Amino acid sequence: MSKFILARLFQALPVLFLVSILTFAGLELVPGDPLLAVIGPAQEGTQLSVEDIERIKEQFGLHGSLPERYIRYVEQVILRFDFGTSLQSQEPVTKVIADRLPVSLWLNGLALGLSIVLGLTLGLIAGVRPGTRGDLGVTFLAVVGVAAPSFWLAIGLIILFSVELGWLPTSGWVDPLSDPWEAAKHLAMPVFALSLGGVAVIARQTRSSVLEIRRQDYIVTARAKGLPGGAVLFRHVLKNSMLPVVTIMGLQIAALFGGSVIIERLFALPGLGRLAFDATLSHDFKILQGIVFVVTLAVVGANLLTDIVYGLLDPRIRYQ
Amino acid sequence: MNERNYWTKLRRRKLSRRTLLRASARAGVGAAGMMLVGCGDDDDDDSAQPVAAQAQQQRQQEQQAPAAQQQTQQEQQAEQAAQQAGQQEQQQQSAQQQTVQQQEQQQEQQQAQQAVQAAPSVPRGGIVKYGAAYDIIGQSGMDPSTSLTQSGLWRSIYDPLIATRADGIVDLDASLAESFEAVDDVTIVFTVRDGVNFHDGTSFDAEAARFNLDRAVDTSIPAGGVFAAAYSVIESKEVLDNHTLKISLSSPNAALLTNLQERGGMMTSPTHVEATSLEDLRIQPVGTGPYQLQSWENEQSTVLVPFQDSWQRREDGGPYALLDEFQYVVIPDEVVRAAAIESGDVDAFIAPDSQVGLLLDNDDLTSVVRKGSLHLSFWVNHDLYPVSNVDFRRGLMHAWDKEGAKEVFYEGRADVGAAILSNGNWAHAPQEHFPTEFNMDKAEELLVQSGIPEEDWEIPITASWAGAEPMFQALAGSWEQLGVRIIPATYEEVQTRPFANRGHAADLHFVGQGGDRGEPDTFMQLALTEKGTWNLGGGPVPEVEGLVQDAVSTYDTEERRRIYAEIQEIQADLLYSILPGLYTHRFYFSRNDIGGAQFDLNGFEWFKELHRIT
Repeated sequence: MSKFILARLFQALPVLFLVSILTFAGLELVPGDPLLAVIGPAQEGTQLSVEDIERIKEQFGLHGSLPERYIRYVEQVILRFDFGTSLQSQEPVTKVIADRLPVSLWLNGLALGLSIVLGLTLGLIAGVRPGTRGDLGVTFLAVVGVAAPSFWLAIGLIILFSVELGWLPTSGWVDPLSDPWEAAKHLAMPVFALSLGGVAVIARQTRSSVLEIRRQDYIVTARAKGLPGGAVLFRHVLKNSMLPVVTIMGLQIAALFGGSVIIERLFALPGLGRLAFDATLSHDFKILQGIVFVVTLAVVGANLLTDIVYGLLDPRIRYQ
Repeated sequence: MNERNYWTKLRRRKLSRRTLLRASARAGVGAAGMMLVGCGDDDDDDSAQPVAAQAQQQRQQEQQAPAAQQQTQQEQQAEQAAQQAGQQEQQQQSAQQQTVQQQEQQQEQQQAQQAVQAAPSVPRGGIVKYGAAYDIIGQSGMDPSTSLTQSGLWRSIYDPLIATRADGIVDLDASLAESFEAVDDVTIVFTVRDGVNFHDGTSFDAEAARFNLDRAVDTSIPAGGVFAAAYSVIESKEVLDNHTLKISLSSPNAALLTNLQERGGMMTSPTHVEATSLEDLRIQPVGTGPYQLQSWENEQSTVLVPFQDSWQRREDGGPYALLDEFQYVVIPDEVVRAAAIESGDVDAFIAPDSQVGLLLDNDDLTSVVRKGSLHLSFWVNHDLYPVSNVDFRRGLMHAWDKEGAKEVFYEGRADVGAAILSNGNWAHAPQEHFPTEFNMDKAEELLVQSGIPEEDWEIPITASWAGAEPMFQALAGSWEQLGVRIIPATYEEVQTRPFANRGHAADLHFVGQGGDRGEPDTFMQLALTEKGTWNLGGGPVPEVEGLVQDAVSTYDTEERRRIYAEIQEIQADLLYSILPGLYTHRFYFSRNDIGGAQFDLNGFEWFKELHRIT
């Protein structure tokens, strides 16, 4: 197993390298002068000399040709894990990201957990009793979950639970470690809005996998030899249905980070998503490079975890 | 590096079995809580409110004491008087045991109590939460010499050397200068107040004023020198004694007094500045204002509490701040911000245009309007062919359906622009002959009259920001009907080209918005002088530039108003630099139990007068 994990880790390195190039190129080549983020507000009523502009460029690592900047980028980011200084707040990017990361981890972690628990449960209910009202209900919910954009759902939740019912606060962040009850109230809507899409996808995938596995000969055999229904369901059906579901769960990590950009802004959560949104508007590409790199690491890590879980669920994969 | 953050805090936690168990229990309680939330009702919610909110409610209930309580106040006062008489008798009995000094102290205390009872009631107490679009401190800090962000928060924490009312008149009652005298046209002597303390306990004096004015123009401070241009007219500062500061100017400048009410003229503690790093100065504002900073959480909230030693006092003799706490809560999304005031999560906010109509229908909310806070305009390089032709410019103006735009984009809550200064500015003088009328025939006639061949009727133009896009589209549509070809430019180009091309005539016009800046001179210098950044072409403006300098050189407000009216009249004829379309308004909403909402000279909301209505 350790050889398998090492091989997967090794395979992740070129991916990271490729991502570093794409991140750099993507953000360097988009229209817009990042220098504006630094000097923009100061323009009004003042004139900067050419020397001033060159000095500011050097200060923020914006000087030199594109290849020169890339070599500097690789040297700083890949070798020293230093993303430089934010063009807006002028704080180290690593510090800014470290300050925001816990919020995103809580939000995405809870949303992923809820997606998995609810998705699996609903998928199992629908898959075990196909064609029943329960199955139809789950299918309907899954369609709504996939179709409803998270921002629309979030606004709807706010209007219902905050404005009309007054049960939950509209926005804000409370650290779950300092005040779990307040944190639960503040996170309930964002977590639900963020996870619903995942719930729908996992529920649909689980349902179809369960339906397919239940038709397999070895399930008929298990039943024929007198195994109780619960044992057949959990030991044979669920375990063998999990492979495609695990793939979906891995993909959900990236989807959650994407969705959290809007959700964190709507619910005023000071996480990486909101930071990415603000950095995009203010052309703070240093921050964006840092965030993209961290999210890439998370997605690569999630894929690695998925591979490991594959190996655990199906020993044949380990030996291929 | 000994940094305190979420991770170091976690690292300090011991990961023992007990910790894990406790965390599991908390997680269980949290999960149960989340489920319970769905089953809760209004009463449950009240019981779950934080202690501060419960205390606030209790305080409100106390403040909303029944009228009967007020009616019996006289009886209580009579009883108190009887009790005081009794106390005096007791004091006389024990006089032999007490010293004369103790008796005097007691009498003083009684007199103070009576004075408080006799003082008019001032609505004190409570918490007010304000919903803000962005974090002032997090964005560019609250160090007066480096911050680039304006907000009503400034006047809660700091006081300016010279304060100005919303109508442009100097307000000495709110100024740190007790008085000032223009000894001659270029010398102003300020007498600063005695007995003013900063939040850190140090005293304000003339030396502190000089220190702050020096710092406002100090370009050697990283990101400093923000007010170097605005205060460049100050040649020297001399401290004559502890309370007297003399300023010598290079030329007469009436706008300086108004500019001193901006951030650069706000006074911070020199002791604090010298003892604090630049990074910490951004996030630790120390002024003389009615409120002082209690806490700040990046991108979340700023909490202010009353400064008990504030130099400004209320009628009851107490500190100027009326609230127990003022919370500035960041909610970036405008729809959620509106939902927050409707649900009562926040008590006050400035409504985005998209939400104003909805909120005006809400009976739980009160609104205050600041007219002409911004003007949505066509920014033009009047040196660039074919727009350099004044008839061509007039023609374009007549092909702009401003009334229609006002109805469509602002539901009628805006005014059609009729002068370069908006109707929120004290020097605004509407011009009857300004080409406000939407008349396509007249527009075509003027374009033909300009003598510019039809094949040259083309304009490189764009919207300078996303909010101006609908207005730009409407404008471009009308002009294209006339046969004017629009060469679209990108947002990026508008950000760089007009500025990059200064001195060589910018090759781009745009639809954008500008603030009225409070002080007319600031606006006029930017728009109608050769060096002004809003004069996109950077070309001469001979008919008005001299008048702009005349206006700023006189200290007579009425004379200034007259000159600015003359400038606006000329500008309405020649249509230089900025051609206003609409003056838009700012709507400040607060819940009905909040009083004291108002705007300052620059159109920013003030927090220093906010209070709970009892």
